[in-house]
Amino acid sequence: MPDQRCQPESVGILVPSGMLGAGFSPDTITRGIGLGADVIAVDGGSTDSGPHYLGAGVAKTTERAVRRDLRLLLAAANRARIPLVVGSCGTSGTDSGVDWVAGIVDAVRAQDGLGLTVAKIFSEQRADRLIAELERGRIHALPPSDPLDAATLARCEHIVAMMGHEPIEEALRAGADVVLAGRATDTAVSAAFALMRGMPPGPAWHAAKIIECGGQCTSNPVSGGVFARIDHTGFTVEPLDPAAACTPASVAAHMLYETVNPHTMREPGGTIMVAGARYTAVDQRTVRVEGSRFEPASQYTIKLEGAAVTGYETVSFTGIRDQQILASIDVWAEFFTKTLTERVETVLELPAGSWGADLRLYGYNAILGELEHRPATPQEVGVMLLVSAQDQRTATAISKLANPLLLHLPLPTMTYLPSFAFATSPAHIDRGPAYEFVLNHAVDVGSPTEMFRLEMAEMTEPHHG
Amino acid sequence: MGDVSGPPRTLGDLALEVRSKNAGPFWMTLEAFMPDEETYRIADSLITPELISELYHVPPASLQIFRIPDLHVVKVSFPRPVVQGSLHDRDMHGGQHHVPLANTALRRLSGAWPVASAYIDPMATFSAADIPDMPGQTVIVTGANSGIGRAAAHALAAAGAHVVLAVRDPRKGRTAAGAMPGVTEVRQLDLASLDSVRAFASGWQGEISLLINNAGVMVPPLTRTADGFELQFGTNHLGHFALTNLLLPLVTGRVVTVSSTGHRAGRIDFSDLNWQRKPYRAWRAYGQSKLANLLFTSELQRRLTAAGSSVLATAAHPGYAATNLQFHSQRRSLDLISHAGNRLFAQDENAGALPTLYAAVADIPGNSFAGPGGFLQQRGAPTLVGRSAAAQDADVARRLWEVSEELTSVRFPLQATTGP
Repeated sequence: MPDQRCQPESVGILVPSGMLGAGFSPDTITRGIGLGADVIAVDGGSTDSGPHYLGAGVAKTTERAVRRDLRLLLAAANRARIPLVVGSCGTSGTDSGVDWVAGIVDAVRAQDGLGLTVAKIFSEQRADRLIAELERGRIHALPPSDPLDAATLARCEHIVAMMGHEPIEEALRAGADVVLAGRATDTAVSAAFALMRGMPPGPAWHAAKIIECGGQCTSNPVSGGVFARIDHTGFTVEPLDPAAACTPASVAAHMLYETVNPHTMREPGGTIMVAGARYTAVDQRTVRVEGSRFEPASQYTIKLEGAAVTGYETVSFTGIRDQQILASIDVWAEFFTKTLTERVETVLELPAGSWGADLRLYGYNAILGELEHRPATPQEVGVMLLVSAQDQRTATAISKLANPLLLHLPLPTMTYLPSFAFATSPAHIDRGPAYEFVLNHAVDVGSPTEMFRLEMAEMTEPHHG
Repeated sequence: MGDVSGPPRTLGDLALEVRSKNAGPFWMTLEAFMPDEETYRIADSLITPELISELYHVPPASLQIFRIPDLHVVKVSFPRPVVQGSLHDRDMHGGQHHVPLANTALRRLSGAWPVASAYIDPMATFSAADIPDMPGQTVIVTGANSGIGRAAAHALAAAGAHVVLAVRDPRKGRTAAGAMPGVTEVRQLDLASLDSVRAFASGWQGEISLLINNAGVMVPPLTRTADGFELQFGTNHLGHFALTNLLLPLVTGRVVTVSSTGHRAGRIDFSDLNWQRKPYRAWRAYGQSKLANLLFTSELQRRLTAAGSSVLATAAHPGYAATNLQFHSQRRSLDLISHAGNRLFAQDENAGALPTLYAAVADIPGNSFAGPGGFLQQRGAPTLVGRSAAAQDADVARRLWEVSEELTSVRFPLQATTGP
């Protein structure tokens, strides 16, 4: 419920960048605070870089970059006495990701003598508890996935639930200065404080979507931060880089970015509806948006993400420059696959189908594969062989069998052995476990906070050092 | 992205930006940002479920297309064809998958379309109006109850031909025929059953000016015909093979067989034509059937010539603009996803039928392959187009013919006069 006692006329949100650790200019923060920011919100995560980070429970960003960003943000939040909300900590929002970011925050707090209260919200889920939910019929598939089964849940290395704004609001109400959230919707991170202060959900959620990627909604996507001010009838948005601009088109177009449907977007508690939104230029670089709606859902649902091991991989790389081979590169690739399959069958006694390989011809058709229209004869080709097997030893062994082929395999019609250009020695690199996203399902819940665990440390005295 | 060095040839040349991206791990989304109203209308016309389906190998039923005139944007979303991060995912962020859309040639917009006049080829030389009068001539069109088959049948009926709609479901055929001018007739034909093909042929009397082998199925889940063939190979190739040979003694004009640019992805696997031993791959099987259509056409022409017949065998493909294929989603949940943008289907069908009509009536040699536009033309009327090297392999064509005779027990009915 909105806090009626201190309901302000508007709430200003500073988003320094699209991702914690991506970096931003210190001026970004100075300008955002100068515009009267009431909260700093930044997303720490992404599924976009693939399932490895959730599967392995490690961050995509490097610690030094995250520490550098946090140092600036914590100092600004402390000075301006406004909260800092970080969502999807550690890229995937696993418990290890939250603890990792919390460790960095603790170190900066201690070093810089900041007396900030930190809340951690954990969103990782246990498979056995979800299996019970599944059996109670509370988990359903989201398009385009098929219904869930218990075995799929049991396969997952990590499962996270995506929180809405409520667990973040709960932490803020409990007095947190810094909220480090596990997996959260990108929008909840920015919307939570505004909703808590009684801003209407239509503008709050729509603004949160527009600013979640930082400078993406501006004329210069690499410009970094943005500032949004949400009020009772709409919101305004402007870039924090004075050289960049928000235009009605750049703001409206951001609703297309990484969304399936540009008119509606589902959140745990309802749907953002922007078809009726009007975008007008306030000045050269500020846009006002009115007419966004939020339609509450009859059932509150929490989306799950999970990553499971698909196998263990080894990658090898070689280069081909010889025009005779390149003119028949499809034939060569087919001959390679056939020869390797036979070698693996005879030497390792592994039948085709018990292991997998992907032969990619970079410079020819690697990226689009069968969708490539009519690739011309290339000047040179980088040959990448990705092998997947049930354990690392086997993947490595298969790659070692492939090594002489990647070095010497001729065309079937050739009477001598060519030698290709290995890029490195050894030519292969073990990749360890590989993962896939296997969950695209939502849980019907009775309470928005029931799947999340809030932990708040006692306020510590600053110690200067 | 605009190419200022020459006239725009592709959607990407016209657009401010064509981009693609994941929308979460399970979806891909594409957007064409156009600079103004006029170019937006072109993108709007060009981007159809059929185009996206063919470019990205996804069933039309799984597509969502959003047309946003205020922003001059057309947006397309569909489930990711390759699971993100899986062994065969070569584009983790989906960020390079805009290229097939960006590279789509503007020439696919035929002159018959009510799109921006500045981009219409003033030299367009063939339209439905160029079909000569055909009174008293009989035309058979398979699969004529929908899509380009229906559009072709309509155009031929309008030219005065007696058009026979050979369709699996006569009820749907009658509905389609009811909207056509002139003299039409509906007859039942299920190409997935050789009994049905024989029944259709044995009930036939009288000369046939044109046989248009148009019906086709596209990327169904693994299904077998009544005779145990894989559905696409059985319907698209073997059914038409049997039908053509059974009717050939009565054909006086042409046999037109509708193939696809998808033939380029096909290979004829004589060791397993019907996907009994290797794992079924729907698109590969479709490619094989469409390659078979072209090989069938070239071998048929060779045999007709050898027999001293004046009958021509030609082929056509509708381009990306339109197909009338019956899609079958492989995942139940995909069927639940609605798709928008049907309002341009009628134009799509008419444009997509033009290459078929061209192959049927234009002054072209046997074994011609017609498709939309010339390769280096920006746009324009149907013309003769190239085919893959595999589609030109005479030995494979001959062998496919012999195997098809064995599989269907139907043989080439004419006597050779000039040797094999």
